[in-house]
Amino acid sequence: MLIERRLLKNLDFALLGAVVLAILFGCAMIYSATRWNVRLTSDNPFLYVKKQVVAAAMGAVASVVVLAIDYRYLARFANLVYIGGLALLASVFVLGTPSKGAMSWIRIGPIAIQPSEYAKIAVVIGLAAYLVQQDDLSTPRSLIVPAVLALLPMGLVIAENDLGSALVLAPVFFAMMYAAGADPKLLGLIIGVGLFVIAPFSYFFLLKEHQRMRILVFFNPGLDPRGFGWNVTQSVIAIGSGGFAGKGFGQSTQARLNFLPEHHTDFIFSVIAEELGFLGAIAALALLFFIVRRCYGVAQSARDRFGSLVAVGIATIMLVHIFVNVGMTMNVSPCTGIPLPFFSAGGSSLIATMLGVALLQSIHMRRKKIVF
Amino acid sequence: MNMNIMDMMDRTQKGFERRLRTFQIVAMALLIVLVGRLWQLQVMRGDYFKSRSTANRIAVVPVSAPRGLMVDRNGEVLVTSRMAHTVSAMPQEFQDRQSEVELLSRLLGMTSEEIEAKIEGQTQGKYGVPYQPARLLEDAPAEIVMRISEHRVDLPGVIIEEEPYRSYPHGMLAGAIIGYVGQISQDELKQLGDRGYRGRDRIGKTGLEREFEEYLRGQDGITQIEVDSLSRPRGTVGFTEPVGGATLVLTIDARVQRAAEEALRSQLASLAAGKYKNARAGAAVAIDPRTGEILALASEPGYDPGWFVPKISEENWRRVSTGVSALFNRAVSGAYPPGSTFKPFTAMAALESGQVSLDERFLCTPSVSSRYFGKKCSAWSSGRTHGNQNLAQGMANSCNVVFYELGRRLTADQMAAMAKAFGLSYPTGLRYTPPESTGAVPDSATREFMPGERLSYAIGQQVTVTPLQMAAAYGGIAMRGSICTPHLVRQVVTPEGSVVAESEPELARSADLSKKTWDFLHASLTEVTRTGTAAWAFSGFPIPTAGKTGTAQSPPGDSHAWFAGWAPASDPEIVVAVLIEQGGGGGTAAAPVARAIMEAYFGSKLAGAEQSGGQAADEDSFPLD
Repeated sequence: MLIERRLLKNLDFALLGAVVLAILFGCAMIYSATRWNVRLTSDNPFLYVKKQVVAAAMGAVASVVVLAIDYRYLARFANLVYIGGLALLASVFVLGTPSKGAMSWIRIGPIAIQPSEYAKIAVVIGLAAYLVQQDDLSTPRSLIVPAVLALLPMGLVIAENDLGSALVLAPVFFAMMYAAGADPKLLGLIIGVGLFVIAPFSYFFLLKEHQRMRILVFFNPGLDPRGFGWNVTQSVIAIGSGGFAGKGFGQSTQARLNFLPEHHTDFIFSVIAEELGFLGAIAALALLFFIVRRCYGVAQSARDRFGSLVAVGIATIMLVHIFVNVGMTMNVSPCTGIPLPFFSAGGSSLIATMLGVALLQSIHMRRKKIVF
Repeated sequence: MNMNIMDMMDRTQKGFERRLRTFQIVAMALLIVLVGRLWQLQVMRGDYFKSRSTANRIAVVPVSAPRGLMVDRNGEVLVTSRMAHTVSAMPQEFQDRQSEVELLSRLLGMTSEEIEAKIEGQTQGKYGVPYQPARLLEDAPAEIVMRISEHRVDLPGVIIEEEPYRSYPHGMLAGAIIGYVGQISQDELKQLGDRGYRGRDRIGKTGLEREFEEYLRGQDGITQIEVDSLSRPRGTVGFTEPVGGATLVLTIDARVQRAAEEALRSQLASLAAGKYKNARAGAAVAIDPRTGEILALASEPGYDPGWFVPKISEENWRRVSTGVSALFNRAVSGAYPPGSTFKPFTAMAALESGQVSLDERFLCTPSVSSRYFGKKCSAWSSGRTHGNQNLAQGMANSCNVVFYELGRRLTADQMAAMAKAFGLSYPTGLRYTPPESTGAVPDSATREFMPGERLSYAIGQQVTVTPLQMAAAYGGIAMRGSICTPHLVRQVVTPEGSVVAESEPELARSADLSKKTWDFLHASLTEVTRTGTAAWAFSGFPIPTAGKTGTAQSPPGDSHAWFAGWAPASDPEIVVAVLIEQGGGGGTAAAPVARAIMEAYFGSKLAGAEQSGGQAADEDSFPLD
């Protein structure tokens, strides 16, 4: 399964370089965030960095495989990919192990996999393959099938008690529908109903107590500063105290003394901002948004709509992850367990993100204008 | 048609590209939102959050300063400290709180509720210090320390601290002066919270421990420790050395103090074993009248301040607080009718106002009783009379008839004025906690006195005085009018040896009387111990002593026994006042105690004097007849 040289030349090297840089940056910050925490690392300050590097290596191998396959095969087998994604999600109910209140992990020996990270990509592929076959998406009727395609996996993820991950799919769905040509007014109406009817209804009748608290605390972190508001309060202190130039690499007191929870995973951005200050945080954001913009760029350069829609879906997944995660650390968005792509420690997130980028590179390689 | 399709395709393709560009714009907009927020938090409010993060991690833990010592005038240590073991808990370090508290309750012999209450009380609330270990068992015995150490693995968060404890090498000696130390109370915290006291602190509760708290306490040091989110200490960031409390150099002479306490105690025991079953309490004060330095100050029953270390047991608390209280310092706070020890003041008032002459004679016989509202002389009850005597003889014999006659001639105001001139009814100015009682010297401003009451005024039944006031006033007689402020602390010396406070002899007041009056008093009061009411008690005492006995009626109980006097009579070095509650006659109950105190004071001098045969100081004795 060789990749043609000619195609390799078409890789988006800027995107590749940015991704490598982001992973290295992430590893450095994971080291900085975990090396003090003996209980976490069992006295090996490189434990988490090692895990991350191994995951990155596995992601790289998987990426090469993805590059070798012409993405158009995926369109042909999209139904299979989509059903596979659903099956992966459903497998959690049989094989899953609970973690932090959510049943979203499968443990295979020493490796823990979070299926929802991979399933998101499968859903994007399934949705894109369906959408390219539709001539007219302007009627409300035409939205029913795509909505079901999105709601099925969302329902499964919600059933795993991972509301945050499930909600990521909503903006992805709307972005792909918009790109595919659905009536923006209709989409806007659905979003409006979602925000002002379904959301309040869910808040009062469906959400669990702790989920409600998270939303209350988002609007008022001082409500319960030692309980639900703790994470956000401490994260904002960490970021603010970094100031313009930061406390220096490895000098995060908020992380080292454990004021900041989950500092190597969900709150890694707070560590960056505390240690490297405004400058470092801007650098990380610039890198991430550069990647996102290149991914949307792939959508623009793709040779067919299927490639474009897949690119829009994957880029939107990334954008939502970045915005929700970074926003959460600064109390701009509610607290959810969404990781920061490339930076948060965690194999599934990293490998899935790399797979997504590899898929986009595969699309980009095979774009219309081939430069000889 | 073809063109139309191409057109349409072109339009949809253009629309598609336009929509894809929208995503770039949305992404940029979101980036701007995040960067804007970042700028707000880090650049605009960075300093605020820096201080928040510092406050998060730096905890200030006070380091107790060792409390100052107390030594007597010769450097004998009365109060010091010893190292003791305290079993303490750091609740943040517990791994399984419930099972650890249960294990502790078995090892320490306390209930789990008691342990939890102790932890709560010391680590939470306004005055709690969350980073400081909470004391569970103070001054833990060695076997408990051993048992805890053996279970160390099962008890993370339980530590054994070494702490300095108050220690009293002489036990009960001078307990009434020293006072005691205890854990600060909630009320005290409210009053003193602004002086940096904390819920775990110990504080002087009474006596010199309380009065000189500011010197003894020292200055707590500070350890700045870095703590993590669970308040677990991670390291020391800064340290300020504590400054030990200053040493009090007392005016007390431990030998004299011991003699005073022992004499009082044995006298009380023998009185209670005999006729005076209710003789259970007493007080003695010895002062150097030249300086006001208190050589001994005793109150019986007494207590050992060590009973309060680290905390008084229920049994000891009952012992000191019920019945005849040991916590009540009778020398300072007890006001009693002075009885015949008041007679010198009556005599002085009469002499100075010219109401009596030294050679006037008085007849003591039951037939004169009607002249004095049926009042009697105490001699009559035993079938004796004092017969025909002058004022000096009346003083030596403590004849009531003589003083009834003076009381008849004087107004209450004249007698009150003389008593007040010697400081009676006023605080002596002693620095001590609780504040001394002032007693009472009523005069016409207080109430009107019936003629009969003036007679009893003359023999000391209408006023009340404290033993301390009596010693100071007799010091004034001894020093011919100069009354020094009594004090217990000579110097306050820092651990480095610099003197931060010093007591200079201070003239509290002076009584300006004629030489004739002074001479008369010195001679007649010396006669008391030679041939008068204290002759039995002072028989064989080689140093000429001046003094006066008193037997103050306090119905329905037995009379209070008094003696007040000084030695040597002509060159006063020590003035002593002794009171025994319900001890009966002053000459038999109180005077021997005073003698024992003087013997201890003169010590070796006395041994020499006895060898040379003693009594030589007869030159300025006053003619009795």
